[in-house]
Amino acid sequence: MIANVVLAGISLAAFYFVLSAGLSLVFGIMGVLNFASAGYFLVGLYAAWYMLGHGSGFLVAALAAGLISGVTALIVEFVMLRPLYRNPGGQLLTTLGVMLILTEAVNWVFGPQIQQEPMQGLLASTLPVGGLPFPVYRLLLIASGLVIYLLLVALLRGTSLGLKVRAGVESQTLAELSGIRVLPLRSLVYALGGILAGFAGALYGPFGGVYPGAGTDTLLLTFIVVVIGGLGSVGGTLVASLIIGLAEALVGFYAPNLALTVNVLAMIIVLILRPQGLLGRAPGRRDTHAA
Amino acid sequence: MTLQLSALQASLQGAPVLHAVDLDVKPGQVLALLGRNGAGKTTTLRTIMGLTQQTGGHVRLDGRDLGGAPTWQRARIGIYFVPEDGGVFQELSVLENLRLAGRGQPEQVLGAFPELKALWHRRAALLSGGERKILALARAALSGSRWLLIDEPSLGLAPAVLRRLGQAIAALRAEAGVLLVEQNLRFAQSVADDYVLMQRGSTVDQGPIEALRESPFFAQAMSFGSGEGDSA
Ligand SMILES: Nc1ncnc2c1ncn2[C@@H]1O[C@H](COP(=O)(O)OP(=O)(O)OP(=O)(O)O)[C@@H](O)[C@H]1O
Ligand SMILES: [Mg+2]
Repeated sequence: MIANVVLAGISLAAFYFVLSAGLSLVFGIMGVLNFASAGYFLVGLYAAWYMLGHGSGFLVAALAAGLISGVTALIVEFVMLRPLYRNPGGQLLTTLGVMLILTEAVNWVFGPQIQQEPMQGLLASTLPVGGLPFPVYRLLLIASGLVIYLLLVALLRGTSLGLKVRAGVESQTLAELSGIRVLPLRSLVYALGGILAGFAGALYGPFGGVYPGAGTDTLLLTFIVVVIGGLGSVGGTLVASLIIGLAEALVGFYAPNLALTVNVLAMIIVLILRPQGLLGRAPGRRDTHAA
Repeated sequence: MTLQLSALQASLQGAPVLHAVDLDVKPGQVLALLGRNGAGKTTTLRTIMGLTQQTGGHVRLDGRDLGGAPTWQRARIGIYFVPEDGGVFQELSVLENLRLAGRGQPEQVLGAFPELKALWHRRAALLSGGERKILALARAALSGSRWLLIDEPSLGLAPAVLRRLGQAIAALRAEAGVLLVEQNLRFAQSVADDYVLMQRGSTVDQGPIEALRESPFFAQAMSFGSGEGDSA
């Protein structure tokens, strides 16, 4: 039985990781907590739901959802955020506005009701784990999280583009002094954040439901994950996702009313002991060369 | 072929800091930019890189005014800035720092900077101050830049490391013109060909480095002797 709960926790963790990784990277390079991520999540959630209802397979729908959200994010970056370059406060408010607008738009187009996500075949079936049925779908979550983690690490550690992104995350000024154009890198990372949020939205539908409040409902937990992990750190986001996912599953099993409390507590404890997050950089070292 | 500043003016947060900076750096030349604390040396280098708001005058490269070119463009056309702390990426390894610096293969620097071999995969944050400066200069060399702006490289270095640094700078001049900000006069005299003296945001005198002490502005600009005269 405990194996079942732990596996459920890991699958939650995988979901949180996909949702939070983009947020963490975007913060790393832009210095802005991207509220709009909740909006891209919602776009992905509904895009996948719509495609599933029209005969598409789940993976195709999820990938398409990521793409649609990524394009949405790219447009937002280009039209609304880029003019506010060097104005983090304005960018923060803009991302908040984008989140509200996308939430309202979804509400207006599809209505406030919870939609039924049509799942069939293998993904709707279960396997026995520790004497209890375990949804096959949750295994897909785990696999998705793992694949995305490996892809992100390969991109950031194994390519020259990833090296430039990491340079830009550490210091925009030093990156430019090395001849790197940071502006297009920011757009790229922002779009990547949109893709990951949209993909996470698609993953959320089958277990969380399809409704306009889904984006804002998951926002708090992603912030907790990103803060615990350390802003800008993919490895930290993974560790924090595991902590939060497992805590939620275990506490949710033994004391359902305490699940969120425990997560907020975990964040407060980490913030007191390690304000920069588990794997984050020490604060105050950010961009000492900025103009 | 010259990096030329003429009547350069710049402000920091609206306050004028550079008033009239004039100097020329030629290929193969090491020009020492000297002056007391707060004279505007660092601001001059940062203005050349487009990091500080230029409010007047010109920065010209081979006669072409850089105008409002962004920092990354200035770096790409061959101006390389080594800030006081070295300006290396702390979170990246030595190898990654070298990869980002330039056009050449990172291994190329091992000839001039063999000590980096043992540090190849170490995160720059873990390097000692001297090692970090060597890495910074190796990056400068690898960048293939024709103009190097180096801010107080000698700061906090032991004499032995300083000698290595002097050699490193001497090696760099073969490929580039160097504008070197220094407080350590003996070090500056050992590596520079010429000097420019700065005082309260303006260049006031220049000449060959051997003649530095004969400059009528020397005592005042370097705040030796009666430094109080400066505030008058
Ligand atoms: N925001 C500001 N407003 C007005 N003046 C400023 C501002 N920031 C810095 N300054 C002044 O600009 C002057 C030039 O500073 P700069 O760093 O260029 O001097 P420096 O010659 O490099 O000195 P040091 O040898 O100490 O490094 C200093 O007098 C400094 O106090
Ligand atoms: Mg200085």
